[in-house]
Formats: sequence, structure tokens, C-alpha cells
Amino acid sequence: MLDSAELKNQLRTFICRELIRNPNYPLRDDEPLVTGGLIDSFAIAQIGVFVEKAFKVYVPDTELTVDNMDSVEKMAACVLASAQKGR
Amino acid sequence: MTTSPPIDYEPLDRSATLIEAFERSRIDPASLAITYIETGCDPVRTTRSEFAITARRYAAAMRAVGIHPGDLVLVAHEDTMSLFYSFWGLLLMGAVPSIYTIPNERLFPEIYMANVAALIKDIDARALVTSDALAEQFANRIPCPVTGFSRVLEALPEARAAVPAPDHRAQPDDLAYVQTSSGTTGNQRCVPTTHRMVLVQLAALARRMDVRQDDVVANWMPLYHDGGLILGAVMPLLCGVPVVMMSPLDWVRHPAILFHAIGQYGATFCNMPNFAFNHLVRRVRERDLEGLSLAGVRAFVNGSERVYHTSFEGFLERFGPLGVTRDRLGVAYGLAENTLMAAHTRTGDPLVYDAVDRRRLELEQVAAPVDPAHSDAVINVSCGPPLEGVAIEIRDDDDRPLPERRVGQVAIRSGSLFTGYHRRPDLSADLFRGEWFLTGDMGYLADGQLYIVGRLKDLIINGGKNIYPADLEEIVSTIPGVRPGRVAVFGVPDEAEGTELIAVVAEIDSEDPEVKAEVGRQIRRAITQQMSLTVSFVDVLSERWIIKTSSGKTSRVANRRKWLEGRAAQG
Repeated sequence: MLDSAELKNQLRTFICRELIRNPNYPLRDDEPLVTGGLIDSFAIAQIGVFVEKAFKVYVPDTELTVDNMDSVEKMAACVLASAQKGR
Repeated sequence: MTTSPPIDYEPLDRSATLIEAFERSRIDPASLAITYIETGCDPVRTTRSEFAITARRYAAAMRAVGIHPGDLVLVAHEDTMSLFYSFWGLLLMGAVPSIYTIPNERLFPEIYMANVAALIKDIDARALVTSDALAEQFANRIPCPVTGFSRVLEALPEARAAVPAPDHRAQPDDLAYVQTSSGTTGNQRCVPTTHRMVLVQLAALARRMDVRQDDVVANWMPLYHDGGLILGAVMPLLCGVPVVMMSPLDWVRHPAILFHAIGQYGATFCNMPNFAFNHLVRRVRERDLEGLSLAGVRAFVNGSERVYHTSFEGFLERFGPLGVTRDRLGVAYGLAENTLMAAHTRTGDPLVYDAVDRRRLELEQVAAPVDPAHSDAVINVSCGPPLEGVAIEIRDDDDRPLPERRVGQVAIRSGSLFTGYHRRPDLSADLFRGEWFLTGDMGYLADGQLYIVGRLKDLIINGGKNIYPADLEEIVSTIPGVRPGRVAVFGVPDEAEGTELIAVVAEIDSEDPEVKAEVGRQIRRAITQQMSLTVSFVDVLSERWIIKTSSGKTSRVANRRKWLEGRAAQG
């Protein structure tokens, strides 16, 4: 079972290091990522790859949307939902 | 590999207009023209006769909503098929379409509206056709009539009614469409493109690509981009081969959809900017490759921005096992001013790399061959020979032609060349030397192949989009706390992304890290909301960092060098 807090931690670390390119960026869990200009639509696909590799969860393309990916909180909820369905 | 016969070139070679070239085609009207695919939706298949009928209905509807032959019409819509029907319908009725980018969730609506209003004024558009939501916001706020798309749909004649072909007959040198561009408000470099220019371009390009009757084109590039419009929509239609179309927004978020176009719908040609190769390598998931073969693809062609050999090598490494080989990778060099392409590799030829000495390239502007393993080797990728009918010269600062392997500005002379920017001939006057056009790109010729190594223009190409750094510097300068004039924006070549990333350096007075972080946030947000761009690197500093020229201008070259040296020192 995926732990929500751990999932958010790993997503936050990945986003700051790989997508914002600043490991020290003080990212809040509710901070708008796409609409806030921190990441772009390309990064949405990259989140999909990261989640597949790190957690063995395949988030369907239909769920990889700006609405579902616009904050660490939303992402984590979406990944957990996909993991539930994938069982 | 295909053995089917070449396409019929007669319509491209002998027609006066794009409309005539479509009508002259001897392809079976019941054959497939377009398959539109979208994540989570069923595919929509359209035959040539269905396309022709629907386009005629659009032509009639455009007349009915008050558009006249000769009117320049700006079209901005998120639905790719509606956009293409509007484009063709407007051509049919003798109007001049111009496709413009659509807003997205990141761009500020007010900014988008101001840009559209300025563009309409600049290009003297007589109508705007757009989505209902935008039409409502635009009403009475821009200097021309606005039509929401549902009005066009309501005006469509019955599908079963026989819609006569419009009686308008364009001439070869009439405007077919106006290609919009990015650029500062008031300085839009739009390319007026005639029917002749497009037909000359396509006749040469299709021959160089060696398009065959059983080929299928895949396209996700937007129709407001010359590559998306011409290669991804008009060319397949006029060559008589089907195209699998996708929405660019869908592809960016779900890049594997391109591989569905290949695996499920048999696509054999795909042209895309360099960054797209990296995007596919890095962001397609393993599960999406299960059972997939790419061996049927004749060419993945890299065009629209600087080509990195590392992008091709990464592509071969990941997708080689699925059937991608060196002779199925192509390269093109083009510019909207020449309708689309100026040079293009031959389909089936293996990639050509040219390893040259970096020091001599930078210091002497000479492309001196060295061993590719040499520590100072730069690997340039050939864009192929010039297209038939296109002449390319490399020129020095005094406009003298240079010999092979000397780097200078690329100049072209061609039958598909424009004659000046739309309503702004002042912006292009300096770029013509008789029949020759100075492209602003720097390159060299070797063994008849063109290599591009840089550009004169102060421009960042990020993800195939042209961006002027001054536009971004202006936005950053308005952010409270940023010292006036103490901002530098430049492009940083990034091999992992396969494109130039955007870096911003801004100076502020405060030394408080929280204030710096907040100003950094505001910089990213402002550029996203006003330009729909993502800044990759933001440095907010309190010390004096930015280098100015003796005349007080921000020196982007010097700042970029300083920034890169700083990064390298940090490791």
C-alpha cells in the first residue's frame, strides 16, 4: 500500500530537482505547478514516467491532465486513485 | 520498406491554386483523407469526398456569417478538425485565412486578448472566427467583427443538400494564407503566402521526401505553425495520402499517442522539432511500447529548431529495438519566409554527421574536420542538400559568398520565397539582396550539404517556438522590487531536453532569501501568464551581476557565458 505522505515527499523531491531544477525550492503541497508557471505540460508526461518507475503505478493518459497534476497534493491523490484501480 | 509507386505529381506541378490541386487529384474520393485521434476518444475517419463536401459547407457558412472574398480572416480555435475545415472553407470562398494560436489555462486572458487585438490591427484582419467563449469576451473589444464558432456551425448547409462549389477563382499569385509568427506586439513578422509559393514548395518537398502512394503522415504539430499546417495537413491532402492528426496539447501530455498513430494507423512519415525526439525518449512509458513496432516508419524528420546529434542518438538507443534505424531519420532546415523548407535530406539516406574543431569554429568561423572522438569535436548534423529550385549561399558580413566549410550567414533564392512581411515591408527590406534573402541563420556548406551552427538574430528557440528575449526582459522589469534595467534573459542549450531553455537573472535590493524566493515566483508566474512559457532557471540576486555593454545595453552573450561558467563552477 502506498503511503500518502511518503508519496508526496518523493513527488516533491522529484519535482524540485528534475522539473524546477532547484533542489532547495520551498515547494508547498498546494502550490499551483502548471498554472503557477513552475512546470509545463511536458512535465505532466514526465510525472507519468516517474510514477511508473518509482511506484509501479500506471496513471492512464486520460488522468494525466492539468487539473489532476497542478499541485503535489492533487498529483498524490491521482496516483493513489490509479493505484487503487490498478489492483 | 515500401515498394508502392510514387504519388501523382501532376496536380502539384500543373495547378494554379491549392483548391485546383485538390480537385485535379485522381485519387479515389472514397479513400481515407484524415484520421483524427485523441486520448480517451474514438478516432474520427474522413474520406476525401467527405472532406470536400464538409469544406464546401464551411465555405457557404463563412459567406453566411458575413465574410467576403478577399477578406483576411483570423481563425483561433482549439479543435484541430474545425480549424482545418475553416481554413479550407475560407480558401474555397476566396477569403484569406490566418491561423493564430489559442489561449491555454496558463495564459492570462487579458494578455491574449490584447495580443489578438494588436495582431488584427497589424495584419488588417476583417474578421475573427473563434470559440464561443472567446468570441463573447472579444465582442466590441477588437477592431473587427467576431464570430463564435457555433454561429458557423448553425450556418452550415444541410449535409445532404448539394452545395455548389463557390464560383471564386483565385490566381497563382493571390494570397492563399498569412502565416502568423511570434514577435513583439506591433512587430509581428507575418508571411503572406501565395498559392504559387505553396505549390512550388510542395512539388519540391514531396519529391525530396519521395512520397509514395501507400505512405501515411502523422502530425501533432499545431496548425498555426507552418510545419503543422503545410506538412501535417495541406501536403497529405494534395499528395493524396492520408494523415493521422492529433492535437498538440494532447501529444505534449501523452506523447505515446504518436506511436498509436504509427502502430494502429500505419503512419510512415513524421516531421517534428528536435525537442520532440527528446520528449519521446524521456517521457513515453514502457507500458506504451509493449508490442509496438516502428519498423514501418520511413522517416522521422527533425526540423524547426537546432538539431542535436545527441537527440538522434538517444532516439536510436531507446527505439532502435523497435525498428528505428539511421536511414529512417531525416533532417530539414526551413523558414516560413520560404513557405516551409529550404533544405531536406533524402528519405532512405543515412544521417550524416560532420565532426569539426570547436576552437576553429568559434575563433576562425571555419568548419575544420576532426576525429569525432577528439575532445574538442563539435558534431553537426547535415540538413541535406537544398531543395530543387532553392539556391543556398553562405555569405560573409560584407555579403560576399564564402567557399565550402566557411561559416557565414545562410542566404537563399527560391521559387517559394516571400517578397516581404505582410504590411511590414520595412521589417524585411534590409534582408533582401536582389533575389537573395538573408535568413539570419549561420551555417556552412560541405559536399553539397547544409549545416546550421547558430544564428545572428537575438532569438531563443524553445520547443520550436521563437522567443525574443527583450519581450521577457520587459515583463520581468515590471515586477516590484526588480531593479530597473537590471534583468537579463537568454537561452541555454540543453541536451537533455534537446532545445534551448529560458534563463532569467534579475537583481533586487533585498538580501532576504524569502523575498528573493517570492520575486522568483513572481517572475515565473508573470512570464507564464503573459507569454505561456516556462522559465527553467531563475536567479534573483542582490549583488550586481548583470553585464552591460559600453552603450548600457544588456549583453545577452556575455551574461549567458558568465552564467554558464558559474553553473560549471558549481558542478
